[in-house]
Amino acid sequence: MEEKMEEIEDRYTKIFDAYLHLQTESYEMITRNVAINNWMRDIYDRLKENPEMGIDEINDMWGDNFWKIYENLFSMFFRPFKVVTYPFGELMEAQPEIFTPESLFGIYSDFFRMFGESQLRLLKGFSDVFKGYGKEDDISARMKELLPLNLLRNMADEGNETYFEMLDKIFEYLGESQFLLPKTFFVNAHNFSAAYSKIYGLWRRYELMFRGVWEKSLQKLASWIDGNREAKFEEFFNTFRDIFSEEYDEILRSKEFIEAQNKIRDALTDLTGSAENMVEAQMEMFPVMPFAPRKEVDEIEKRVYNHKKISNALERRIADIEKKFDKIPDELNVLKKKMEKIEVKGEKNE
Amino acid sequence: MNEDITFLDVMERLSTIEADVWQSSFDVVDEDGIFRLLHYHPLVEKRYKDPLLVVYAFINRPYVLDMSPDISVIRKYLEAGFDVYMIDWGYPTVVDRYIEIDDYVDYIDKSIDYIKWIDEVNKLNIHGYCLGGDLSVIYTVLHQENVKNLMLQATPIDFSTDNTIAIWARSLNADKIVDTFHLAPGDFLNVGFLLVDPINLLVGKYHGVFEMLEEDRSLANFLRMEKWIFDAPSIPGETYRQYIKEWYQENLLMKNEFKSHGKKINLNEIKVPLLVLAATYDHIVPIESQKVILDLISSKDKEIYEMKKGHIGITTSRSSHKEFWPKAIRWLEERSKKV
Repeated sequence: MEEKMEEIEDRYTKIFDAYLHLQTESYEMITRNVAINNWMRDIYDRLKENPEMGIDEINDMWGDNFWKIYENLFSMFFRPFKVVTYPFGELMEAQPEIFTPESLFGIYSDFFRMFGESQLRLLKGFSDVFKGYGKEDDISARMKELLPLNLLRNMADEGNETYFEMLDKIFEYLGESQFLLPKTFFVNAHNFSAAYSKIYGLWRRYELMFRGVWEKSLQKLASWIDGNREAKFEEFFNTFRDIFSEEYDEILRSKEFIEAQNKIRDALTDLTGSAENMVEAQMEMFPVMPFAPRKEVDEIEKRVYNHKKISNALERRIADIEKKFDKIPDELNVLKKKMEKIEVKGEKNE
Repeated sequence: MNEDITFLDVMERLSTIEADVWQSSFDVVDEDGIFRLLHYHPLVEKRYKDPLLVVYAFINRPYVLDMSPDISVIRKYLEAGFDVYMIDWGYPTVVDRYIEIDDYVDYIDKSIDYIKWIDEVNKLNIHGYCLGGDLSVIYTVLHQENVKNLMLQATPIDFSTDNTIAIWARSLNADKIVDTFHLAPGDFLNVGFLLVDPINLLVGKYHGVFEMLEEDRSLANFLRMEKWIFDAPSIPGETYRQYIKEWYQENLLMKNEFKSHGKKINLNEIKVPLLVLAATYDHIVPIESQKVILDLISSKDKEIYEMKKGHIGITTSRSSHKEFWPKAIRWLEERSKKV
C-alpha cells in the first residue's frame, strides 16, 4: 500500500512539475498529442492486422478514434464558443430527443434565471443601502421582478398574458425606480440576450463546417489506404497530415467560412460589450462600490496619454533648443578668433 | 519512436529541459511606459563605428532573434563587432489602448537620439523585422538623415496578398473589436495564427517532438519556440485599428498614402542603402509583399537576399545561420565605417 502511495505521489509530482515548467498551451497540446499519437498508432495497427478491410469497414473501424482526434485538435479553438453556448451544447448532446422549441426555451430561460439569481445574491450583499427605501424583502422582490431575464422565464412558464402583465408592471417600475437600475442596464441586458441567442445557432453552423471537412478528408485518407496497404506508420501519418491540411486550407479561405467566422466573432463581441456595460451600469448605481467604472478609467487614461504626448513634444523642443545652445560656445570661439585677427590687422596698420 | 508513448514519459522528459530565452546580456538604457531600449554587451572589441538598432514587430516578442545560444541573430551581430541596440515594445494592457503607430515611430526617434548622443555618431543602421520593418520604413522617410543602412526582414509592404491571414484581416471589423476589448488580446491573435494551418501547427509539430525525445538540444529549442509562440503580447487598441484598417484593408503604405505625424509616407523618398531579407515560404508575409519595396524606393544601392524558409524559420533555423545570416552581416559590414 505504501509503495502504491509513493508511486502515486511520484507520478503527481512529475506531472505537476511539467505543468509548472511548460507554457500552459504547450502543456495542453502535448497532452492532447500524446493521445492523438496513440490513437493514430492504434488505427495503423488495426489496419495492419486486417489487410483485407474494404473502405466501408475502414471507416467503421477508425471512426471513434478519428473523432476523438478531431475533438482534441480543435478544442483550443472551440473552447470560447463552448463556454459561451453552455449549457445548450451539453444538453443537446446528452438528450437530443427531448428537445422541442418549447423545451429549448425552457432551458434558455432557466439559464437566465440562474444568472438572474446569482445577480440577486450579489445585490443582496448591498441591501443595506436600500433599507432607507423600504423593507428589505420588498426590495428583493422588486429587484427580482425587475430582472428582465425573469420575464422570459415567466413567458415560458405562465404564458403570454402573464408576461404582458408583468411587462406593464415592469415599465411602471422603470418609471419610478431609476435609482435601482439605470436604463443602460436594461438596454444592455436586452442586447446581451439578443447576442446570446444568436451565438448558439452561429456556433453550430461554424462547427459543422469543421466537421464536414473532417469527414471529407477521412474519405480521402481511406481511399489512399486502399491503394497503399504496405505503407509504414510515418507514411500513414504524413499522408493524414497532408490530406487534412490541404482540405482545411481550402475551407478556411472560403467566403462562406470567413462570413461564418466573422458573424460568430461579432456576436461574441456584442455579448462581451453588453455584459461589460451591464456591470458598469450596476456599479454606477451602488454608492458603496468605490470603483470607477471602465469608461471613467478610460477617460483618465486618455487624458494621461494626451498629456504624455504634450510633455514628450515639449521635451523634444527643449532638447532642440539645448542643441542650439551647445553650438553657441563654438560659434563664439570662431567670432573671438575673427575679432583677434581683425585686432592684429588693425595694430599692424597703425 | 515506434512504440506507444505515455503521457508520464513525455512530461517527465520535458520537465528536465530548460528553455531559457534572451541569451545575450544587455542593459536597459531607456524606458518609456512599456517601451524599453536595450543595449547589448559586446562580445568582441567594437569594429564598426555606426551602431545597429533592431526594431522588432509589435506582435510577438523580440527575443526570437536571440533565442538559443547557437541560433541567435543578435549574437552574430555582436560577434561581428557591431554595437547592438534593440527596442522591446513590452506587454501592452488596456491602459495602453491609445498608443498608436506614431507613438512607436516616436520611440524609435527617441532611441536613435539617445544612441547618437551616447555613441557620438550622426547615423546608425536599422534592422526592422516584420512589422518592425514597417515602423523602420516610416521612420526612415521621416528622418532619413539619421539612417546609414536599412535592413528589412520579412516586412510586409503590400497588404493585398491572398494568404489566409491577409484574407481574414481584410474582413475583420477592427472598430468593433477595439471598441469592445480596447486592445487586440494576445490569445485572440494567437488563435488566428494557429487556425491558419491547424493540422500542421497543432498535430504535425508535436508529432515531430515525440521523435526527438532523446535529443536534449532539439528539445530545448522546441520548448524555446513554444515559449515564444505562446508568449504573445496584446496590441494596443488604436494601433490595431490602424494596422487592420489602414495597412490591411486600405493598403495605404503601399500606395504612399499612410500618414505619420501629419505627413504622407512616400516610400519613393527613401534613398539609403537597403537590404531585403526575404523568406520564400512565408505564409504570414508572402514573398511578393516583401519584395515590392525594391520597386518603390529611390535608393540606388538595394538588394534582396532570399532564404527558402518560412516567416520564423529564416531567424530560427540552423541552416539560415550557416549561410544566410553571415551573408547578410557581410552586406552591412561592407557598408559600415570601421572604428
